[in-house]
Amino acid sequence: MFGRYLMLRLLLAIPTIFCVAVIVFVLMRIVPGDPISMMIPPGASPDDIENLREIYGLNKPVLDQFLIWLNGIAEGDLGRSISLKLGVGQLILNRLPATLELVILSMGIAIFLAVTASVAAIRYKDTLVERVLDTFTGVAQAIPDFLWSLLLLLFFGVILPLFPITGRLDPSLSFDPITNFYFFEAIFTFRLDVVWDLLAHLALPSFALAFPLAASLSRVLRGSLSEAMSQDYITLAQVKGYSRLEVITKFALRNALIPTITLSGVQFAFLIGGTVLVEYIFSYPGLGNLAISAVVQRDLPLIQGLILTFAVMFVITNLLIDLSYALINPRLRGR
Amino acid sequence: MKNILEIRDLIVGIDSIPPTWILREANLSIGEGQIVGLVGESGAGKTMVSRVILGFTPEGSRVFGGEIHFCGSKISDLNRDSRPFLLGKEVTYIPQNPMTALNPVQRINDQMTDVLIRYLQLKPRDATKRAVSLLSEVQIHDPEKVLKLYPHQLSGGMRQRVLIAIAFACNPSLVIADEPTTALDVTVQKEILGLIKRMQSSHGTSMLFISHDLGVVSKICDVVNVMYGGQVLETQEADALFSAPSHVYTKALLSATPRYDRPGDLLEPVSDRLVTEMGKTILSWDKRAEACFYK
Repeated sequence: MFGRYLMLRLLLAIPTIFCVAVIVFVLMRIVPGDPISMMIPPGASPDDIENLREIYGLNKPVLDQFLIWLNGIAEGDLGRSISLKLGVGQLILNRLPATLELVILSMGIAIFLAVTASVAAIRYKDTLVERVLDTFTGVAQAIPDFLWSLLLLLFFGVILPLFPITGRLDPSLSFDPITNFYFFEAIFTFRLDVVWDLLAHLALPSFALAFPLAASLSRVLRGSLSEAMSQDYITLAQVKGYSRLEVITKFALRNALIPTITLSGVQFAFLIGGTVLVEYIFSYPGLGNLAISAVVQRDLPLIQGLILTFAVMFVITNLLIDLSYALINPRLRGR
Repeated sequence: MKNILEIRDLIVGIDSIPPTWILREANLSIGEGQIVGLVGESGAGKTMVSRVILGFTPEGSRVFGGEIHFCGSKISDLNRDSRPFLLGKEVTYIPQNPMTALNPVQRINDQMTDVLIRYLQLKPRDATKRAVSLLSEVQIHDPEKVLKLYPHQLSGGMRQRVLIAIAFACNPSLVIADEPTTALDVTVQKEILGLIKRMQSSHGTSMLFISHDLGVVSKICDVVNVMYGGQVLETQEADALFSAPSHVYTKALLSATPRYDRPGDLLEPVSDRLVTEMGKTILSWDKRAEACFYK
């Protein structure tokens, strides 16, 4: 039953990803800018340019190019990057773990902040605490993540140099990982110095990504928490003698989480978009940074591969979110 | 007979100018082991009485006069934390609507055992055992299976049985039942009333039974209080109330209620004249009270 549902969902994801692939492919060929003109030395002859076009298959009709690309994907080959002269798949796999670490940490921080802030706001309803939290939420939401990056960088990287402001890991640490999941590998090999350094590098970018996200999550969570608080089962919990904080965390929170989780799926897309600028600002070697250089270089195969990767990540996240509904809400189980 | 709860001349109002009076010198006492009924139309103040006892009063409400005693100790304010009893252990509550009163995301087992673990310090396993016996007490078949279910998997009558079992779980000294059968259909209603009565006598609990239904009250209560406009107009033993009501309002209410034992009787609506009369009495009380508290 469950396995069948999972299979169905995965099958349904294929048309979604296919549509993304078509749109990206067509769009990249409509917008002005040519990858070849970015790489030729000054004074190259028209013949040289034509040769290069042929090497990269850019002289063929768009439909042919698309079919060749699709065929490659089916065989697990995303093509070769024009600017970096490396396999797109390999490039992405090298950078993906860094971005995943950043995204997961940001999401974790955002959820923690959102839950704490909304529980506190409901617990201390109609008091100064609620008003202060209102203000903070407003500010956090009004400032976009790239501006948060600059602010955090200025205050906690420059004025108060608590955290490193560029890169992923201090190169002076001798750390030879087998995978690119530095964080997990460092934990499993008990390299606590590396773990610490990774976290220090992640701190500023992940908080910059987390603040606006936490604010919008906490808005929704607070709304559904205060709605839950007026339900009959909350009255029963209060009459059972639970304190207000217990009533919120043990009874209202789980019921209120469902709409919040739905939103966090949507927000995940913004989070991936956010990593592009934030990684660039902090010179963090993830997919976002790779995406920016790919766009600047008009590196068509690389851009296509990256956006396809983002689409797959989005589909997987939403699948996980749908599965988590059943975990939280017993009324949705067994359907 | 000792009284578990005594409310004397209690005046409660929302603290505005002029105050909105909710209870106007209400008197009520609940004797040990008794089921005390509280009847009245909507807005009479029935639910407010239960909220005053439990400590869940609307924001801004305040005691203007009168006294509340629970087992001899005086409760002087409406603050929940100053109750001389453990809410959920010594005083419990059966809600009106069983469909919405249970937490939809928790198994029945967790919703029943939490009070047992919290107040009787039982281990989870022993608490589950006790929950099983409580469920068989409220006549739920296959209690082990029901404990593993979620509320949406039970019918309304089953849920009300579970809620009754929760209310009696820690052998409370007072159970407040706020219209516990109003949301149920008539056949289930009868079973649930019988069940509440049985549970009450086997646990030796006192009970405040709130209802707007004189028929229901006549079946279950030892003593009945008739409320109107925040006052208790009449307190009588149940039999006496129905055979010889003394207050005109009670008489009017009774002649407006169909009776199974006298099927030929004509029903008479409560007359407009009586309603106006009683409205005037309340208004003059309000004037006196305002003069008293604000001058």
